[in-house]
Amino acid sequence: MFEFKMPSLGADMENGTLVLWHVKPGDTVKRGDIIADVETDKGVIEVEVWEPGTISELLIEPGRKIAVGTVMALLQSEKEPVEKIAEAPQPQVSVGPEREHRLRVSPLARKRAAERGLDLALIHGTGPYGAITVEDVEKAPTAREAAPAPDKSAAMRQAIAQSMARSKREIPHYYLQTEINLQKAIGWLEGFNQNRSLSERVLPAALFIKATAKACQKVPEMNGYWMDGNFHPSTAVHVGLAISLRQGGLVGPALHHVESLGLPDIMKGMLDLVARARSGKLRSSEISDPTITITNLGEQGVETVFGVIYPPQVALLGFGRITPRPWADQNMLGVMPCVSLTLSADHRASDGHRGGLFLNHIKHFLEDPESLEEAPHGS
Amino acid sequence: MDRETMRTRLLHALATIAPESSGSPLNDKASLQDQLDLDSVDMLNYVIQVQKDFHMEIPNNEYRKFLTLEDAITYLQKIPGMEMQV
Repeated sequence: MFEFKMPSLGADMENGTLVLWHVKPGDTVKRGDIIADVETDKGVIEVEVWEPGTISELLIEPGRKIAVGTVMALLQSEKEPVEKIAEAPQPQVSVGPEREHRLRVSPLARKRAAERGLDLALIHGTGPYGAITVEDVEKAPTAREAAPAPDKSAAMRQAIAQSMARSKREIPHYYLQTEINLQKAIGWLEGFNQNRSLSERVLPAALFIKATAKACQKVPEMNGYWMDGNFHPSTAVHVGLAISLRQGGLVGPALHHVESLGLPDIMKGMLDLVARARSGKLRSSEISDPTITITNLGEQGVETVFGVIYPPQVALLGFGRITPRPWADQNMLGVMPCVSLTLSADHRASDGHRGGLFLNHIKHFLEDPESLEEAPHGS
Repeated sequence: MDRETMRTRLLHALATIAPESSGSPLNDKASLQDQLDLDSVDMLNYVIQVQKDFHMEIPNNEYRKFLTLEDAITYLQKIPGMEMQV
């Protein structure tokens, strides 16, 4: 038997509210299956299970707010013989004295409660033996008059504030910037897209993501987590994409294993991730797994962005607007489409020299776009 | 399919990728990106949704016809058989 616990879905997440279960006792699950929806300050997240097994017992009811690490369910692992899971007992009405008294309602009070759309179970009775009277029903607030719904956008703002404040407090940031000539990349992309349908169109952002993953394999100090006083490099490159939410807030979900994705798969993954981020359907692994993050503010007209690292990551890349700039090459002056690329990096994990090498690798990959078009591993 | 139905379907496709845009008043001649704060990924998702909803393939080089509602409707009206679709 093993425990499924409330995962941490962000650097400063302390608790979450279980919205609903996607499974019931007796269901078998495999790694990556969605087991529940949990509401956090960053919206509703689909939580995945990490080990295969059979659901034995669900310990938390929907609607409950629980701390990170709370045991939510018990599962039997695949190696154990599956015991017959007893059917969950039907919920029974409590027969304690308090419950009996609450059910005492005059017919008139019951009728008035129905007219006002009130739940009798939530009304305090002041009549004999706690009976609910008409006066009790008239005085009870409706759902609208009750405590207002929590302001989700304010909660997300608060979560971002805590995470960014922690980042600036704990991470000694250093910053580097470089300019990249995208003439070849844009020309190459036009040719790449020419014989493809709209659904297969590749945007420049996909080139930025792939170049980042390849550079992470050359300079691994940029790809991983700072935890417990040490840097833990990651062999996989899960690139977080900073996505601003129009209703306010920011999320940075991961595109997994970019090191083994081709450009079309990166595009497909990016379109899917952005669409689900906008409609609040991200998965727990996407929230917790980024090993490095990219922010791309060029479409907002920003030329250069010096970002704040998302802890426990150790680096953040910022791409600005693609804009025509004067460019000197072999003693000739021309005008080229260029982009400003910045690196915010954790000085505990890397130094400026390695940061400079990292940016240079990205620059070389983008200036030689054919190097980015590689078949995924195993194909 | 008349013009009004085309517009309604385009707005439905928009609402699929930008749910918070539902009900927002829109200027048909102005850029959707500017009015709804959409980026290039949102626009691509929108045009892919339009392809599904209108049962058609939009060539890569016609992508920019969907930057405003007015241009999109004008483009759709020229597609043979589109007016006969329900």
